[in-house]
Amino acid sequence: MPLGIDRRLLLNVDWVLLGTALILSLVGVAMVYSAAHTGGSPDLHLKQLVLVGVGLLGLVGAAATDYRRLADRPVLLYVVSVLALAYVVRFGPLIAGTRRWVVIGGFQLQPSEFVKLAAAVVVAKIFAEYRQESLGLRDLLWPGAAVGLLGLLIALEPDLGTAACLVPMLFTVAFLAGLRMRAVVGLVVVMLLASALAWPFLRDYQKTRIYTFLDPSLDPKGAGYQKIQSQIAVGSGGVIGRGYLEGTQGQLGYLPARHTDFIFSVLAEEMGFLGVVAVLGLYLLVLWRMLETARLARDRLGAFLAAGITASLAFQVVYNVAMVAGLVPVKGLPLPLLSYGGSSVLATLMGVGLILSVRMRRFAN
Amino acid sequence: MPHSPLMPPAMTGDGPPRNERGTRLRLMLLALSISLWSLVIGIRLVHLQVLGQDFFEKQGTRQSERTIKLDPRRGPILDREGRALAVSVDVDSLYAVPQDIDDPQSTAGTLARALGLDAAGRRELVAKLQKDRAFVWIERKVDPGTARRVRDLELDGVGFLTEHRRYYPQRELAAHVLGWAGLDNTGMSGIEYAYEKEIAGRAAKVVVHTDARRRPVGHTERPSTEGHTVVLAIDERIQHIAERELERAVKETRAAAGSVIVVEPFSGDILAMAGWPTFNPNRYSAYPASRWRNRMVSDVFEPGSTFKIVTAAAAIQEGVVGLDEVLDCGNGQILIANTVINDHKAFDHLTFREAVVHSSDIGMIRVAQRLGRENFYRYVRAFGFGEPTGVDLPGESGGLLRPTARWSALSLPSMSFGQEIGVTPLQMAMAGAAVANGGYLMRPLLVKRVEAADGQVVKEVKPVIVRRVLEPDTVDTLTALLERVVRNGTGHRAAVPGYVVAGKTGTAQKVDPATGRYSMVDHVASFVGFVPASRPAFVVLASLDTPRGFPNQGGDVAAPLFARVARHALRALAVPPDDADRVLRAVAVAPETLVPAAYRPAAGSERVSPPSTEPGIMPDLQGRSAREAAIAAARQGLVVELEGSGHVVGQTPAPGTVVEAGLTCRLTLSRTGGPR
Repeated sequence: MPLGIDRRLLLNVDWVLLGTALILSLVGVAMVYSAAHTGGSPDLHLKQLVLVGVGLLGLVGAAATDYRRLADRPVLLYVVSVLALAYVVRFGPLIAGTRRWVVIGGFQLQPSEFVKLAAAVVVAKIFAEYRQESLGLRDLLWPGAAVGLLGLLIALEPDLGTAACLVPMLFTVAFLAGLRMRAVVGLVVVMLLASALAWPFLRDYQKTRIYTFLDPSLDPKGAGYQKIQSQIAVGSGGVIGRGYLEGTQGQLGYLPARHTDFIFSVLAEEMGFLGVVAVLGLYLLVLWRMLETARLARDRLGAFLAAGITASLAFQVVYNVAMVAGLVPVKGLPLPLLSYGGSSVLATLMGVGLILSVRMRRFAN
Repeated sequence: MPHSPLMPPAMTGDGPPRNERGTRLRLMLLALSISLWSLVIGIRLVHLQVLGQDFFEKQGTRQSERTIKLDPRRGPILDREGRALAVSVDVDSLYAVPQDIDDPQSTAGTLARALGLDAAGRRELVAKLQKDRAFVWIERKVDPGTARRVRDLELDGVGFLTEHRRYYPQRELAAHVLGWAGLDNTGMSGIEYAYEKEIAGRAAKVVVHTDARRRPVGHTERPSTEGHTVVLAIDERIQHIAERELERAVKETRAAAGSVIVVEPFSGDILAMAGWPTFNPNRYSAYPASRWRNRMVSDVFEPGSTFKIVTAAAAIQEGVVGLDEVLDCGNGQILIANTVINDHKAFDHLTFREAVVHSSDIGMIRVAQRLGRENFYRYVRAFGFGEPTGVDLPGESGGLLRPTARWSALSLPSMSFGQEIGVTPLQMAMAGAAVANGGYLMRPLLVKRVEAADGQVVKEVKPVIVRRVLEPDTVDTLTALLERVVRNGTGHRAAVPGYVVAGKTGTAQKVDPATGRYSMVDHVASFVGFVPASRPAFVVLASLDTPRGFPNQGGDVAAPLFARVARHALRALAVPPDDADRVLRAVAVAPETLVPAAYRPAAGSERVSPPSTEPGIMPDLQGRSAREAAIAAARQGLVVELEGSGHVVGQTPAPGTVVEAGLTCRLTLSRTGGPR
């Protein structure tokens, strides 16, 4: 009974998680308004508000779905994901040099965002099926290959940022499932080696990004521009900020991608250090409640699913904020719940719904 | 592989039978890593937002704001009567709004023709007009003709803003005093520099906010504030006289340089300060920088015999010599510390009076030796030598005066006739003023008043007495001596017909830079004097550097320069003559018409008790000495006619009467009246 909602389930809804995610979504709407109202499409915040509404419906739907039923057909889920991604890479419209979207009935959808959720379900299912308590590297082979294919397809769009989200998800679940410490260390070493070996195969623009990350002044009008402008925005926010709608970096258009990837810069400039700390606190609250769900889950599948979704979300938040603060290279990765973007909001809220579903069913059956 | 201690033996199976402890630990590790990342980000944010706020705010402002500054209107500089010496005139500055220009090429072409630009200038203009900017200056401070031509073109996106340019309507007049304001409208020398803060005013500021595409999105403005007006003590007429006569004297004597300073001795007001060679501050850059220097305050010269005023004053006041005491002048030679000092003339024996009148160096050496080093040094310092006068001009020198500890055996004798000491022309003039005004060293006043644009007085400078140098008796004796210098001594060519002149000549040897020894041919000829001697209207210092031709001594070239400046200045200031014939003639012009309409015979004893010094009101001179009374009356611009001698016993007009400059005032004097 996929939509069976009884009183017992409702008693176990994590209202704190739900409420916090909702607050963050609304903060996002406000920031999108601030970032985009002076630009070419002043109504983006309304669209975002509608999307938050749709996302809430998705959240309720996901929460109402029994995650175990969802995980019953992992192969189907996986094949649909691969096909969707392959379709996008092959036939998707070229937008800003990338093919990330499918257009359905006038709406742009970004399959990779939903594939992240599917991947979390599939990975959780695979690891939940393992019967041994302790895993070696060999046990990572199948799930690694499965996730690797998805990541490769996403990277081909290209959307390295989203592809990268799959990596922490896979390893977090493997780690929880009992990956040996020796294997963990080995993996870290292998990954460092791989990144060194991968260097010659990186595209020029990707290398440029890394160079200019190390020294933005190399190219202040080009690749270093985003980092410089973002730091100016964050820095000039100061402790209390310039005030809502008062940030010159955002309002005058110096910040690139200010309603999407760099929305946090707008927040930092207008709300200052205090606002930033408040929003980061909300994110930590969300992540804590999610990990709590992983701990409380009644079975391995639930725990792994919650942990996978948490890892992906945590990686996105940490990377995006670190990027805005100039700590890591600029990569196109939206800030979940705050950045403008329908697929991101919808998928993130559905992920929250799945976690609610895990928690609601901790005593079920 | 054996289980790690963290991982107790496994329990297998679906669902709940799980290793709760291990999972919990691994979840904790995950939470820990998220917390660590949060901490790193938090530290970074503190670094950026809390510590780096100023830095990043400035960076942001720099890219999003463009400030256009419009020069404020500099306040005018006026002479003591309000005549303009430096003014600001409105000029047009041409700007463009490139975004409003559809065809930069053709606009630039049209503009280039109107502005008379060459090919390179035109290319530059095209580049300017193609900029994606809200505002660019095309040319600032264009001349009116060009501005009219451009206006007539009626080009879109091209406009004018009013700025200001400094203009010196009197060209060279008082150039060294005024200085000049540079291209960016800031004072670079003279009063323009010294009073920059007051004169400059505050620039209008237009801050244009631009977005990332450099489009203007708004602006804020701060209007400009006009600078203050500076009123100088300089009298334009006397300055003009001084410059005209200096130029003439320099050309006649082919001197390398020269200076004339005219000072009102009682207030220290500098009425004129002229230097040669000079320059036109409107085109200052066309002149060599050496001409910009105000040599009257920054150049140091050995004064020579004019400095004997100091020696004589000290000797008289200290009572070391009587006026008629005979001094051994050694037939023109004296041996001091194995060095023979030659006088300019072989005098045998002279009285002190004669030694001053004929400017005997050896006579002065004798007197100075009686004074002694410390006593002499004290007077030199008291007259203001060895330190800046404190005049309101940049670059003032304090002169060269060594402390007695560093004197050689020759120092005292040399200094007694004005060698081995360096003075500025202004110091010499102020020393002369100290004798003229009865013994007070005054601070030279160049700026009398600073007024805001609305006329409110911001600063008013009152005369400052630096110190009392001489007693009245000393001054009387010294003045009589200096009168004789002009009447029948070396300064006879300084005489001004109708007036009694007191003064002293000087011919100072110059050190030849090639040899380091005193030159046999080059010298500085100078004269310091005041007139009328009994009630000085002003002190004049005249000096000529390296006059050529013969004769070229101080008495030959500087004294006549003094006489010419004094004669014209006396007339300009309507100073009544001393000479009885001239007084009678002046009165004879129209004695009756000179009686003011408000004149009434003195009404009994309604006299104002303290003598009024208000301008335009006749002071009560009853009981005052002839000298005092004459000075007081002369200050009101009155022609004074004296009857008898002694103290004042009667006067017309009566005290308190409204009087005007040029009126005649008759004073009856009597020996019997005595001081009140």
